[in-house]
Formats: sequence, C-alpha cells, structure tokens
Amino acid sequence: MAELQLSAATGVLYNLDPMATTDVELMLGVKAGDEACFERLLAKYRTPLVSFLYRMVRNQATAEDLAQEAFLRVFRARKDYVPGAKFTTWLFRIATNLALNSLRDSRRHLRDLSVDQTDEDQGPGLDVIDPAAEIEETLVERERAKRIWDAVEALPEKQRVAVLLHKYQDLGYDEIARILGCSESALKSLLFRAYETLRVRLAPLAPDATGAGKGK
Amino acid sequence: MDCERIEAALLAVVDGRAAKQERERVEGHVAACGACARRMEEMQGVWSDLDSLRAVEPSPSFDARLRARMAEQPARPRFFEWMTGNMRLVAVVAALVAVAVWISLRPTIQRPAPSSAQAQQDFAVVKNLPVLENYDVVANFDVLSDLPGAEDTSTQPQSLE
Repeated sequence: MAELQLSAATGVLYNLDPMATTDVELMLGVKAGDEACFERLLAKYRTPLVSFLYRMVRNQATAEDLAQEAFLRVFRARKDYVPGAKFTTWLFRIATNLALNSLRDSRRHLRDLSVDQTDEDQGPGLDVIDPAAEIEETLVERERAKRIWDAVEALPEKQRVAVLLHKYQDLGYDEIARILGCSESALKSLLFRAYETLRVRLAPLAPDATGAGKGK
Repeated sequence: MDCERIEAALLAVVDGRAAKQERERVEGHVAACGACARRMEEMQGVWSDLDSLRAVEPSPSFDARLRARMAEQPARPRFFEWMTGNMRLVAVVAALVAVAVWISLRPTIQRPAPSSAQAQQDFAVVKNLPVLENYDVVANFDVLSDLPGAEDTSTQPQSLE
C-alpha cells in the first residue's frame, strides 16, 4: 500500500511504498518485464516530474505531455538499462532535456502566449491552494506571484533548471550537478549567481521595501 | 571564516543541505556580522518567495494517456525519430547520395564516332584474330625477320614451341 511522504527539505510529496525496493531494483524489474515495477516508479515520480516540468514550461498540458514522454523513454530504454547513476538523475536529465527542447522549439509561440495568459494567470492549480484561500487571494498577491514566476523564467536556462531542481526536488548537489552535466563546484557557482539575480529582482517584494510590488 | 567564504556557504544553510559543523560555523559568523546577517536574511527571503511557484498534480487521466501512448509506441524509435537523433549520419548519407546522383547525371564525354575507314580496319583486325591463335603461323612468321633491326633477337624467344 502506497503512502505519501513529505520531504522536509523541499516540501515535495513523494509516494513511498513501505515495501519499496530501490529505484534501481525497480528498474531492473521493469527490464525483466515486470510491469508492476514500472507502475511503482510511475506512482513515485509522476507528481514531482510533472511539477518540475510545469515550473519549467508554465503550462500543465505541455508539462504532462513532456512527463509522459520522459516515462516513455525510460520504458523504451528498459532493455538497455544498466544500473549506474541514480534513477532520479536519469529521469530528471531526460525531463530537463525535453523541457529545454520544448522551450526552444516554442519560444516564439510562448512569447505570444505570455502576453495574454499562462496557466498561473488563470488561477491556482489543482492542489496547492485551497478554495478559501483562492477566494481571498488579492490582486496584489497574484501580481507578486507573477513577478516571482517572471523572475525565475528570466534566468538563463541552466540557472533556471538548477534553481528548480535545487528548490523543489529532494536532490543533493552532486545529483543536480550530474543532471546538468557539470561539476559540483560549478553547480554551486551557478546556483549562487542564480539566487543573487533573484535576490536583486525580487528585492522590491521584500516586506521592508517601500511600496512593495512597485519597484520592478 | 571570512565574509566571502560565508557568502558561498549561506545557500547550503538556507536550503538545509549544510552539514551540522558548517551550519554552526555560518551561524556563529552571522551572529557577529551584520552584513552577512542581512545577506542571509535576503537569501531566506528569496527562498520563501519561491514557495509561491505552485506545484500541480497530474490530471486524473495522466496514467491512462501514458498507457495509451505506451501501447501505440513501437519498442524501437520510429524511423523519423531515429533520423532526428542521428542527424550527422543522415547528413553524411544524404551527401553521398547527392554525389552519386550528380555523377550519374553529369554529361558524359562525347567521343567522335569512328570514321568508316577506321571501322573497316577494326573489322579486319577482328576478322583475322583466328590467325593469331594459330601458334604455328606466328612462330614461322618470317616476314618479321625482314624488318629493320630484326637481327637483334637475342632477347626474343626463338620459337613459341
């Protein structure tokens, strides 16, 4: 029976089965033709992967398509699977490449969309904000959320991926570095620059900033 | 620990990934350094701001759509997917095909048609070919000895017999 576990570090909900074996063992089960193993990997990483991709592309339908494509690629590659790096490294590396390709392919189209509306402009998603909070949400809060989205989106691609993996996924520096194909020290430098940029861009939103929300 | 090193370690403290010893070092410095304390506060502010980037749950049909895609997808990449993944090889093959087509289509060198006299001469040679196959005739071909310079035959075989 599956249960939800909240990661203390990142607040991400992971489906954890008490009887679960490691991801590598599950993947070896998939390789051997055990579909139940694939179902368990899917149950465990479905939500984190869709959320990561959603934060990358800011569109739920696209995020789900890309997440499905990532799982499909894992499934198709099952015969050639050799236990090496962690499963999450592999999965998020696939997802990162898919997201970056999608963004590059549709950059012009997304630019048009961003003028009009993206998913977050239409209101909160399915799970995070409860209906009562949604009703009380003010225009100022929406504007604040949009500024934060925009600040993250304006980061260079690699910095953006690094921040999203670092902030929202329960991954260590070494694993994020492997996903991005760089050294751990390079990752820390990348993250430092990214958060520094965010600090400057989001400074007007700080509580002690005069006229919060007007500075950008 | 100077401020520069603290700055590099602040993030690991804010994100909770720092080891206990490192965290204690940073917190000790921050307690005594106003600039680093402010820096840490700002970093924590950014970290909190990012909480507002909402997560999403996959839609209820996610698994069903994935299974449908798994059912329709071939075990191996489709031809065009394979091609897009091997663009260099495809480019090389395309270049080879283009060269082959160019070679086959390029205008061939037109040689002049042989004159009628030349044709008759060629025909005579062909007609007399059986004679050359008769080794007795060739071996006793005395006419050759009448040719100028025919005396020096030391390096030539005397007979084909």
